[in-house]
Amino acid sequence: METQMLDRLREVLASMSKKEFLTQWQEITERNKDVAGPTVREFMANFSCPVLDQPQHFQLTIDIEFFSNAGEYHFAMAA
Amino acid sequence: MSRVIIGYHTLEDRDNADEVEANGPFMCTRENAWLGDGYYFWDSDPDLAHEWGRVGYQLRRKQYMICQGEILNDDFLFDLVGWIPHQKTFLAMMDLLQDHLPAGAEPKMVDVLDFLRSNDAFPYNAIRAADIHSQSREVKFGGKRGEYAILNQRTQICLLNKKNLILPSFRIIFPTKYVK
Repeated sequence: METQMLDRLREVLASMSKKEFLTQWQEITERNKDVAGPTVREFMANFSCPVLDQPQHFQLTIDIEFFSNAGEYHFAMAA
Repeated sequence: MSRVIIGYHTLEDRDNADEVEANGPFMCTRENAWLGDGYYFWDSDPDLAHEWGRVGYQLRRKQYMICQGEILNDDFLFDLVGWIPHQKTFLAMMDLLQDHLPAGAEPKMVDVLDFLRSNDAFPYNAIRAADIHSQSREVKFGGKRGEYAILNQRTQICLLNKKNLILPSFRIIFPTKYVK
């Protein structure tokens, strides 16, 4: 059955003009553009916001410290 | 020879157990469904169904239920987990499509499946696919180069129709108040 499927795909591609194929492909990729795990919107809804249906603002702060093996700051050493 | 897979289907609990058992499973049409529109089941692992219930429903202050069903793993299941000829065919089809696309375009799994389904070129009733998640384990073969197998992949089955589901087996298993 998988061989028939591959043959059928070849037939389909042979029957389409390049423009027709690319138009259809663009429609498909547009339809599936959010398929990559949870979207940012879903992530925020699921993990971050205890107050539903209200606009929220989030700020993310990341502190990064670099240490050498001796425990000295690389930044400090560079300075 | 066909084998049976136990699948787990997570739903919002709307206090409608009788309706769910009479009419389920229910089609998922979310825009980000990994394998496109279909009836989704977690393969053989109720913990994944609970995890999805927690993430998909409880964190949004909704309740969830889990149904169990028996799914036929037969010639009409396109098995990208356990059947190498299907994996090879899928890759050949992806390469074929890629040859027609502009350089650098990288089709996603759902794009390939969607193209096949849209052009009456997908003769299967169901798709089985897996990824690696936190509960997957790397088990070494013992070779010097550290080769390993990946076990306990997170596996989903997407039914395009209900033909591969043994319908009488479909029943609620969580929460226990609905179990008959």
